[in-house]
Amino acid sequence: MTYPKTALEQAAALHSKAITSYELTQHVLATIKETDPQINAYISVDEEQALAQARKVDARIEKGDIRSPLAGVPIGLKDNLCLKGSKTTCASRMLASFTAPYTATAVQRVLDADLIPIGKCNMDEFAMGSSTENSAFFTTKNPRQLGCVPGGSSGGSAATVAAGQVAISLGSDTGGSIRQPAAFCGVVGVKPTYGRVSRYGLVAFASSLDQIGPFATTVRDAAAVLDIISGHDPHDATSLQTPVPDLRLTQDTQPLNGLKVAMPVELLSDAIQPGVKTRVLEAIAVLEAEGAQVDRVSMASFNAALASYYIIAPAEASANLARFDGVRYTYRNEAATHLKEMITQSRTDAFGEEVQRRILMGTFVLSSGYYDAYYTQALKARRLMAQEFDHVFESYDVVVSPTAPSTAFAFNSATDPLTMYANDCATIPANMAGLPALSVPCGEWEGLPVGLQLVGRALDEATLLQVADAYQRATAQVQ
Amino acid sequence: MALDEKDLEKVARLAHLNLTPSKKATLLTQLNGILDQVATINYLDLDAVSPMTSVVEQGQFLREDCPTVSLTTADLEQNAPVFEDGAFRVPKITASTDTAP
Repeated sequence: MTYPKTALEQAAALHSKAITSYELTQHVLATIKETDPQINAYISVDEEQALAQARKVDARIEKGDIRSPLAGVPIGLKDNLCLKGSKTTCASRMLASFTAPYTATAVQRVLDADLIPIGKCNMDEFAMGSSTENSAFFTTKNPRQLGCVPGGSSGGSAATVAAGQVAISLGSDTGGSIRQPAAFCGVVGVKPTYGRVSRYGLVAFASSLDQIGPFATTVRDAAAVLDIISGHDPHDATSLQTPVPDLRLTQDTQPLNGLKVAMPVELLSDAIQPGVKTRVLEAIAVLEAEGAQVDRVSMASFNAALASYYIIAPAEASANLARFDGVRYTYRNEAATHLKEMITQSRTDAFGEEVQRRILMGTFVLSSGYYDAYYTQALKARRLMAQEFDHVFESYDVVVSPTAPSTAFAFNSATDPLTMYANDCATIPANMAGLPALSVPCGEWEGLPVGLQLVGRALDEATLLQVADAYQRATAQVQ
Repeated sequence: MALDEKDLEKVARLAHLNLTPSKKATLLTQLNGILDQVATINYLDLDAVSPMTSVVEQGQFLREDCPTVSLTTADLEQNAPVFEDGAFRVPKITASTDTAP
């Protein structure tokens, strides 16, 4: 039997009872069994739980109790999202045996909407990385070219959608960790406005930057997932109290007449791979042909984006990861004879190289004598970035750029940390300013996908989704 | 060089991480490379700019002060390395070489 490919198509088939969620979930599990030995998108797959959930949902659908537009559709979850009773490892030895005692709000909303969590997707350890090579367990391969990375840190979540295992998944984005793997794998990835989606139950990396968001092959699917997971949560003090509009794209695709688009010249520099630049400029020409007005602008604060992010994010990470101490719920070094030794050796044993590097970096920039020189300066640069976006959004509706400076690279090709960090140059500004952003596929270069990034005003996910949807239709990515 | 070996040792102590000599050497090179890169932030004119600690500018959300069930002892025990009599058991605080005050 051939199953529908997109989440909304699967939902339509389920709700018309052409197929059952149990059949669809079995099909997804079989596909994962067949293809994941090659891709390695999943750290864990809970077949029993998924099928049990599917049975319950089928019983409800049979009675006409359809709890959401995506009820019955399987979904993958990044393994830094807590799901009660399941292992939540963050791809780290530190949490290799950790069973989540509670469920993240975003995941609970997915469950309440009757989606079917299939399993936990591979990632860079504690979400620190841009290739998923920092996973303590194994690397994930890019389904579009197996010798290449899927991007990171949500590499598994991107790969599972790109490989056709599931139609939708959830990832998290701190400096580009949804958008960059979406670009590398040729799928759609959305990071909402900071605070749009509750962080309760997302294992924290950098609390002022982290956001949960969807992957999908179509913008319409991603919008439907975002609609489900968004909204205020009393458990998260940074969760926005602003009501969420209906984010689903239920109308016909809107024309782009009158849309004003800004293209920062700093993100079309020689640092961007020529093939990526070519595809992105072609994509921008499509937006113009659809009615948008596109202008080149200068956003000089972008030149400091990497510098400020790689001060703020490690600083916050050093604080957030201080809780992993071998005492209550983590790996413990059993040979230590006293407490301080136990804490120090547990952390040394169980944190990977990149995590240790960022903890040290963060501890240094927060330490006495250096705090003002680094951390305070970075916070000021952050405000400058936010102000510059505010200024651009006085005259423009959307900022476009390449999502990443290159297409997916080969494994082990980034030999030093700075080379890896440079992958984030285009995605970081949106996190620093707390703005919604997404990546939509815009063609290929030498067989590898290229992503077009759109950044919008705070709380204006709707415009981003509409523009990206129009782009997908104009380029026949969807019918 | 922004970070020397003494600084790195101090930072490692604060971060509760042990560093072998070879790891120290590698990290010194890497961290100083990163610090050189992030020092470019000083090219910006930031004197008149105030630090941005949060992108969310909304009032503090307060919820009703109602007791609810949080994690149970069983929840805590399932992940604990060593759990005895309702507590997390850890090695003794002082090292065996420490002398009493």
